[in-house]
Amino acid sequence: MGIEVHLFMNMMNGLVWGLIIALIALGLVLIFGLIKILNISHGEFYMLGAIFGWYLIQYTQNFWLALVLSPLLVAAIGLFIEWGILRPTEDKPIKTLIVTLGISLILQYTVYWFYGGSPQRIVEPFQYHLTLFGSGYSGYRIFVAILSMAVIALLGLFLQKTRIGLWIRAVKQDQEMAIAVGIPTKKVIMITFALGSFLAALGGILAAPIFSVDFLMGLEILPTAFMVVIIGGPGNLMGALGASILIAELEGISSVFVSPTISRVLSLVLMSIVLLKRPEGIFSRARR
Amino acid sequence: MDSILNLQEIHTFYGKSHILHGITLAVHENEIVCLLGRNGVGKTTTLKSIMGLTPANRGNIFFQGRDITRIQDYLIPRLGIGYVPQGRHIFPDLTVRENLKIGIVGNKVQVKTYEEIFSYFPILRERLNQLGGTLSGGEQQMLALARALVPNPTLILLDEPTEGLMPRMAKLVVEIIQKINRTGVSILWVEQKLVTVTEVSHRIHLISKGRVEYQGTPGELIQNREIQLRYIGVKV
Amino acid sequence: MFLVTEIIALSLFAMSFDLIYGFTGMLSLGHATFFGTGSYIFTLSILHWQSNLWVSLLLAIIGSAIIAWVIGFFAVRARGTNFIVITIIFSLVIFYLSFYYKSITGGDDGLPLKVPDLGLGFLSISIHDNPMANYYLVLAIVSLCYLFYWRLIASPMGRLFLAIKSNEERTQYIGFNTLKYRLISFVISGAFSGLSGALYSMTTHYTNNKLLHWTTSVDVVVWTIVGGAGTLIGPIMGAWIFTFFREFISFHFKQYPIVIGMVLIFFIIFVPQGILGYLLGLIRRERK
Repeated sequence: MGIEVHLFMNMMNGLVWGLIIALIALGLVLIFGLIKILNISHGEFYMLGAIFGWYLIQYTQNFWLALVLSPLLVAAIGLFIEWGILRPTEDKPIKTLIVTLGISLILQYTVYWFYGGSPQRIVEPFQYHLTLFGSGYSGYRIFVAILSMAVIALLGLFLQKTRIGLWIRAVKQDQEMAIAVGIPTKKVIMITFALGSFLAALGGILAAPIFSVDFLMGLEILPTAFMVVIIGGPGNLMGALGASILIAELEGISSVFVSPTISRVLSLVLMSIVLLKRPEGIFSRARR
Repeated sequence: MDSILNLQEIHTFYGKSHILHGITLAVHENEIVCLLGRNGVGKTTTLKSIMGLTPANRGNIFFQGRDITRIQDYLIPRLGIGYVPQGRHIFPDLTVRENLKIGIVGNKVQVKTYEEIFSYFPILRERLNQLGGTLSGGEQQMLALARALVPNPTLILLDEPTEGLMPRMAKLVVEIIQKINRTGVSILWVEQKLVTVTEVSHRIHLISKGRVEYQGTPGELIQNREIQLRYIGVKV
Repeated sequence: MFLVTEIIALSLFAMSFDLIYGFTGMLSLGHATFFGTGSYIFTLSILHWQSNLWVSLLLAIIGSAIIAWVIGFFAVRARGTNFIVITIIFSLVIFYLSFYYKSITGGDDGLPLKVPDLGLGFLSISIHDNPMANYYLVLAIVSLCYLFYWRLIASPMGRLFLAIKSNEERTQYIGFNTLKYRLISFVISGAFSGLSGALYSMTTHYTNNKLLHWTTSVDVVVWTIVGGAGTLIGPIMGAWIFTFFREFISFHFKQYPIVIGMVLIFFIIFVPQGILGYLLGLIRRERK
């Protein structure tokens, strides 16, 4: 395989992976933008998406059913966690962050209890391969990229065009004023949290056939997701989308030439530079 | 005259500090009532307590005869109370259109059409697709008033609506407020400067340290130099 | 005996974490990095250079101080949530690095260690085969560190740390370079965490990359919050309670982190001042 082909493959993989990260990071940023709380347990929703997916496929042998059901289940869990556990401390971001740390431990080891410590695989739901540049490329990955883009576009439409979307944007900008015009802010936060969990879980089940499924996968995604938040700018959705693809491509392309570890360090360096030079994120408009 | 809003002995705490020490006041139908006082005496907190944003710890608030003291915060504006806060609090990243639309909640409300809104605020017609944050101060004030007006409220709470505006713009805002009032909307107006409201308000309450210390008509207050000096200082 | 010595070594880690969280108001979720770095430098310097015990301990302190300075350089520029995110990202990336460079770190399996004899001029004492000597050495060093911390928090600089915790902006206005003092606090904490890691390895005769892992970072947070942040002694109590708890329960119930997560959430919501803080509060009320 020539270097161009290798490079092209890595760019394709980078795009697919970047879009999956975008799903996860968009959820994270959506929640952060609304309640200024960094959800440490967000990675666990990604993990749960894959785990539930694995169980559902075991019982039903149907990937597509799992693809729909698993994120919905996780969204319900997210809804319950926000309502039942996070709400009492929600006005104190650092406290809530520590609470989400506790939730993270509970979710990880509950899964470990039932699912065990060893990774499992989900088979790609279809074996179709495209021929690109003379070598095969997984049709499933192309499907993942297209579906992710569609979901992200739908999310944009939802936020721009629907009433709840308008409410979410209003609560993000000025929570007190939102209450004063009659928006049920608490419900909006709950829905947003569920939506964020849904997106992370969708990322989880989509990623499951590409990687493998284990109870620590949420922890593995965490540094990448957080780097996206910093590079894209906290609370900035378009920034998160751009930063996800940027990081995935950076790591994908550079890993053709250097070891994956070094490419990991490269994105860390990128993040550090952004932090010093543009603490608002590289995609932020100049603000008033 | 029936009273539309009635505050009875309202006590509000912010954290551990006691801000309102038993505010009692009433707003009657079609009235413009003004709350006057220096900085930090509890004027804004009074409005926020009515809106449920800093809920009253003791006392009762009645709106159209109904006790709204313990009602969920977001339901209060839906009863027909509009709120125009200090500093305007336009949603900066929403368009003017979205800022107007956002006040339409619940299903029973008869809302004002854009045309009705534009009859008060013609400038907004041209700004409809602009982001709220890009408007000038005066335009933002117009938008804040318009946003409160859309769901057809029976009472509007104003928090220093002319603060920081050029004199010409301030005059225009006052005229619009009077025009709104003439359509039967009652107004509770918080203000620091007596001159701003002497012409327009029907009754004035003076607040100091979280209590209503004096009330009367603007005419009576203008005669009473001693009261003016004690509660509003030199800002006459 | 080993367990007691181990916990005394961990107590130093707990105090060091308390310096930045309880006293300077910075929540680091990546403190395992310094603990692990200290442990590795200690071990590697003995394995590769046959260095003497004092030199190895000193190297561990210096090495972790340098790492703490580099991470701190970026981290202290960020406030609140961003600070936490940066500590998480750096520590997770460093953990993954330790995985990739298995040949150096021993990865999961770790590295066994033969602790050199303790030289006291004319006298040489074996530490490796003499648990009592090991115990007294660790106890002596940790006690000295406790005295140091105790003096530090009573000093003008210690009061400055507290001032930064309660209101950084105001501290800045009265003319202090708060960035500098936050960095100093971070580096001191990192250096002694490293020493703690070295003492831990000296006692257990081995090191592995678990010491760098997220769970180690989480442990110290839990000790501090449950014990009582900002008291020095509280976090030590936390270390004792949880290390014993883990020692006895982990045989019967491998999923014990679930319990830790629940305890953490319980304390954050209901007893945010921690056990010792709660008791001190009771005593103060009695006096009134």
